Amino acid sequence: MFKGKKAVIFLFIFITLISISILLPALVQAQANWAAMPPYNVLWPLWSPALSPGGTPLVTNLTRNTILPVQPALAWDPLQPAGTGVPWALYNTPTAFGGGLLYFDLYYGLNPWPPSYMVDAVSGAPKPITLPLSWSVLLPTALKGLEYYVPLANAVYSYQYGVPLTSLLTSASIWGLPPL
Amino acid sequence: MRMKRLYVTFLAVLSIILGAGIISSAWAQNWQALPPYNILWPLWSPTLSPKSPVTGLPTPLIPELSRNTILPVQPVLAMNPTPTYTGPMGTVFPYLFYNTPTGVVFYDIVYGLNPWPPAKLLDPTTGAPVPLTLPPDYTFLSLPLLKETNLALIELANLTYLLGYGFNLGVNSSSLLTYADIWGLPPI
Repeated sequence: MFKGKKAVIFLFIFITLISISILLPALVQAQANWAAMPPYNVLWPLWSPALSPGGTPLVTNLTRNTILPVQPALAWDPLQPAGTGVPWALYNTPTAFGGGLLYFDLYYGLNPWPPSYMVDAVSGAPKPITLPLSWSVLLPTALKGLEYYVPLANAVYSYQYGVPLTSLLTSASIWGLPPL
Repeated sequence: MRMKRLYVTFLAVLSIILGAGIISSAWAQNWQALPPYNILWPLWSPTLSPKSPVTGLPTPLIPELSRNTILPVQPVLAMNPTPTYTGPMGTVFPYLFYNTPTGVVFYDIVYGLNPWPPAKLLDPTTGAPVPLTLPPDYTFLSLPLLKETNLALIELANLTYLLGYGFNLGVNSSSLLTYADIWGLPPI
C-alpha cells in the first residue's frame, strides 16, 4: 500500500518535471517579442522575420551612425511622449544628403535619429529609455489597423530622398505575411 | 369560399415577397468576374462600368484584366474576395491597377505595387491562368466599405504609383482617378 503511494508521488513529480522542461523553454522563447537596443534602449522587433531573421536583430545598436542593411526598420519606445503606440520607421539618409539614421513619426514626420528626449541636453550623452519591467513580453505590434503606416512612411521617405520605392520593405515583408 | 380567399391572399403575399427578393437581387449585382483570373470588377462604379447605351446596364470598361491589358483610365479597382490578408473586422482591401511599360501592375495595401497577376494565379509549370475560386454569391458581395481606413487607400496607391513609375513616365497626378470619381460622388 505504502509502496503504491510512493510510486504515484514519484510518477506525479516525474511527469511535472518533464512537462516543465518541455513547456518552459517554449514559453520563454514565445514571450521575447522585443530586444532592447543600445544605447537608447529602444525596442527592436524580434517578431519580424525580416528585421530579426532567426530571432536575431539585424543590427547591434541604433545610433545616429548605424547603417541599416534593410529599410525601413521598426523601433519602439513603449512610453513615447507622442503616445501614438506606433513603432517608428527607421531609414538611412543617402550619403549624398550627408548620411545618418532617420526616423519617421506620424506626428513629427522624418527627423534625424534619436529624438531629443533621449539625449542629455548638456553633455549630448545617451539617456536610455526606462523600460517597463515586462518590456520583452510586450505584445508584437499588430498590423491590423496599421496598414497605412509603412506605405505612408515609405512614400514620404522616397519622395524626400529620391530612393526607389522598390528597394524598401513592405508591411508584408516586415510582418512576414505569406506570398500574395 | 373562405378557403379560396385564404388561398388568394397567400398567393398575393408570396408574389410580393418573391418580387421584392428578385428586385433587390438585381440591384445587388455589384461585381462581374473578369477573365482570365476571375478578379471582381465593380459594376457599381459609374466610371469603371458606365451604362451600355444598348442594354442600359453597367458594363465593364474592359473585357479582361491580364498583364497585357491597357487600362483606358487608372487606377481601376478590382477585388479578390479571398485575399491573403484581411484587415480589422475582416475588411477586404481592394486592389488598384495601373499601366506601366512592362504591363499592368496592382497595388495592395500591405504588399505594395507588384506585376499583375500574383504567382498564385499562374500555373507554375505552364504559366497558364489559375482563376480565383469565387464564392457562389460573388456578384452580390457588398461594396468595399466606405470607412475611414479605406478612404486613404486610393490616394496612397496613386502616390505610390507616381513615385514608383508615374513621375518617370510623365504621368500627371491630376489624370488619376480619385475616390470620388470611382464611387461616383457628386461634384464638391
